[in-house]
Amino acid sequence: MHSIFSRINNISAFLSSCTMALLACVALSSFLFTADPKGTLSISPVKVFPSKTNRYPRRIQEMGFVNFNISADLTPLFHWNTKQLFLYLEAEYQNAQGVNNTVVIWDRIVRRPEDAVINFVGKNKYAFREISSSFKKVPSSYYSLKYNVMPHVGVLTYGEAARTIEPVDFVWEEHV
Amino acid sequence: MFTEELRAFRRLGFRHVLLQVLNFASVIASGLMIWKGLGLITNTESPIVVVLSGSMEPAFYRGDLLFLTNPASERYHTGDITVYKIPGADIPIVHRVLETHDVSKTVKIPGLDTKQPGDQLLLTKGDNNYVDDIELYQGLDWLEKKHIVGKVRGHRSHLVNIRQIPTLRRLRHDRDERLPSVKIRITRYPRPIGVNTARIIVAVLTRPRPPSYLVSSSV
Amino acid sequence: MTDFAGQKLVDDIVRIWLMATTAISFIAGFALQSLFVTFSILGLSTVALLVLVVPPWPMFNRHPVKWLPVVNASSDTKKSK
Repeated sequence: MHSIFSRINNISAFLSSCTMALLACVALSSFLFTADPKGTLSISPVKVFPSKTNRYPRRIQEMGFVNFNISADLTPLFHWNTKQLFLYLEAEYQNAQGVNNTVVIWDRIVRRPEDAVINFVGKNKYAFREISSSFKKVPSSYYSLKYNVMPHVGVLTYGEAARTIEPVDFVWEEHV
Repeated sequence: MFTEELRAFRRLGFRHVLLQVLNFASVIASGLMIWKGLGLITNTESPIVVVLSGSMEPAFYRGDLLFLTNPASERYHTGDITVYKIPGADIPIVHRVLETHDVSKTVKIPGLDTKQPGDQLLLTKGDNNYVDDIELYQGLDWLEKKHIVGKVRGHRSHLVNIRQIPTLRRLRHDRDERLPSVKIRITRYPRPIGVNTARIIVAVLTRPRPPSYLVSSSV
Repeated sequence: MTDFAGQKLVDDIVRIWLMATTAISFIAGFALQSLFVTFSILGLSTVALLVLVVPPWPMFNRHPVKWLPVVNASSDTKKSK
């Protein structure tokens, strides 16, 4: 503390300790916000078409086409430490070989509370494929709308905003 | 500047120089101990990583810090953000899980060897990429547990914190010196064309030492 | 120039100031639900602290060290002989 350099050094050292403590408090404060908003999700029967993949041109790969309807108000998830929400629609099913599958078919990043009221009608963004290349022996699947709250500083948290209660069937269309 | 330092060393003698060396070594050793200790607790080779590219924007920007864990019993779910390392690739990649396939009985999956119950096949995608990561897997069809370095548990945005710029380290007799944050860069890697991979480096972060009280003005 | 009492004063000011502003910035940010408020309070108060403490203001040098008077070297050597 005898020279200007040592004073600056001392202040910056203590400031960094204080900032660490502050960031820890901010991270811990996220646990005080326990909003668990719910929405609704409806899915029409999933149409399946055979197609070919770029990776294995000779293998026939069935693709599922999902039309869905989401409405949810996720504004309660925004607080001072929320950087963004990662919203995703997931399909869950078990195939004939006993493999439990979860596949994300749609996602959206919500960065502002103004955008957190979701009313979306659409179809899947990512390919919905079966690992054995056919949905033939898969009876049906369940769908859920999940979210990941990403903080500025702290722990990532996950939650579920909506879920289909009834299983959704696969429907095969004649491929022309 | 150096004449002053040299004069100080001459006056203090050889033992003080040795003490400085020991002090310096203990600072480095304590940093390494914290790093390795964290690695043991979290069961991952690098518990704290720095994001190096923009493929996870706007979730993670360059320079953000991520805290990873990877317990042996860890299951990965869709939406989890994982850091994985493909054999042959030098740089780990941090991307979000898009698909999981949990094997519950012994099964033969086309293109793979027989999978045992408990095995998990994963597909990932960067939030800022349009397509999944299959091109980054260097011939693999799926990621497995053995490729995963860790799951992202915590995050510190670089926007919130005033970055500690390491000041010129001065080996003075006063113990006010602070250890600059040590960055161990794993390696440089040519940018794959078309896909933005989140390259990460390992950063050892050590807290500054508390300043000594009332330092005398003469060395 | 800063004397020993001034060094202690500086150290006390820095510690109390930073701890207080950290607490205030957290509470203000939490109340207004804004991290921007938190970090601007912390940043501005740190700038104020730097202005207050870093230059060697005269108030940190009110207790200068009083050295013993210089003993005449020639008379000193005579005495020892």
